[in-house]
Amino acid sequence: METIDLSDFFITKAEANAFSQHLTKIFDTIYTAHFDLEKSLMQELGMQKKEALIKLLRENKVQDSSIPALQEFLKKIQDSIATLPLVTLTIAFEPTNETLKAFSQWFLFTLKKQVIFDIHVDTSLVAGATITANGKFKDYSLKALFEKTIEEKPPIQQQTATPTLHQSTEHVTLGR
Amino acid sequence: MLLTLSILATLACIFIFLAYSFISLRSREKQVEKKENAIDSNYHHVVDDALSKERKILDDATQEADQIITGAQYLTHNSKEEVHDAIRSLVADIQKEGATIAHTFTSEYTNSLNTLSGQSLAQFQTIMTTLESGLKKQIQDFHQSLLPQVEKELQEYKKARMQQIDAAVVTIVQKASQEIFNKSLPLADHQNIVIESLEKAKKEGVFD
Repeated sequence: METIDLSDFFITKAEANAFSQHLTKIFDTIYTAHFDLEKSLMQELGMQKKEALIKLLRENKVQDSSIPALQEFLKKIQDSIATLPLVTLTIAFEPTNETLKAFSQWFLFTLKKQVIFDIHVDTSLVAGATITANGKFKDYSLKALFEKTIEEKPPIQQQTATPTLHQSTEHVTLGR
Repeated sequence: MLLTLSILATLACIFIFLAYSFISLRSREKQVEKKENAIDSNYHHVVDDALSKERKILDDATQEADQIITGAQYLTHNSKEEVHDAIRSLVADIQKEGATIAHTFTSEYTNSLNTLSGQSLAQFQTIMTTLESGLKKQIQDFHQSLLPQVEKELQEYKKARMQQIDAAVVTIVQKASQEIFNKSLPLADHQNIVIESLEKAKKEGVFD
């Protein structure tokens, strides 16, 4: 199946689910009287994503006036979303949108494929990430390195002072 | 005429008879009145006698009672005086006897206390001497046998506690340094380290 670049629409799993739901709503209204594609896209996706989707339609030579062609393309997008691989990333900081885009771009340029991220934040990782993909888990965080460094520290010197002088019984007296 | 005469005679006889009867009844009534007066006079005489006798009896009884009461009052007064005298005498005797007993008891009690305190002091001094020597012996025993054992246990306890503290310090230092390093690292560096992680994962075939 020919792949469609959907990185302009979503990066994370939650965003992909939301986008798919918006497409379903557009799909449901496509055969209603007075259907207006631009208005419907604007209502469901907002300006930026509307423009991106219209651009995508043109790139894929889909006539927006043809309801069957439009329906077929929207179906194709939804099928693509369902087949995108899921990569679970646990990182040590709160990512910005730009950071997520950078990760997504890395996959597009390096592996030539789009993925959906399931992002988790765990500050105890210190830095780096744990990655789960295709059923494999790898820990590339600095947590293990940190723990090893701390455990290899020199032991604390214990001062064991032994008392040398005890109470003398020579001076013990009772009564008057 | 004859009939008239006979009627007149009859009427005269009847009239005479009635007159006689009236006189006779009157006479009887007078006799009855006389008898009644006699009975009445007799009755009053008897009653008066009875009343005079009753008064006399009452006067005699009253006089007799007065005499008895006067005698009794005299006797009671005398008895009271005698009882009071006897009680006064008894109280004085008891007081005197009590004072004597108290004095005797106090003397005996003081003597006993003096004796007892002397004995107790001697016993107490003996006990204290025994206790002192016992305590000295116990302290010596403690220094010779128990103290080294206690010191050894104390050292072991200190060692265990130091190990616990050491472990706690390691954990704290680790968490603190992790936190500090995490916060001090710029976002770009975090991002680059994650990209490096992705590169390593690619090399290890995680995405294949």
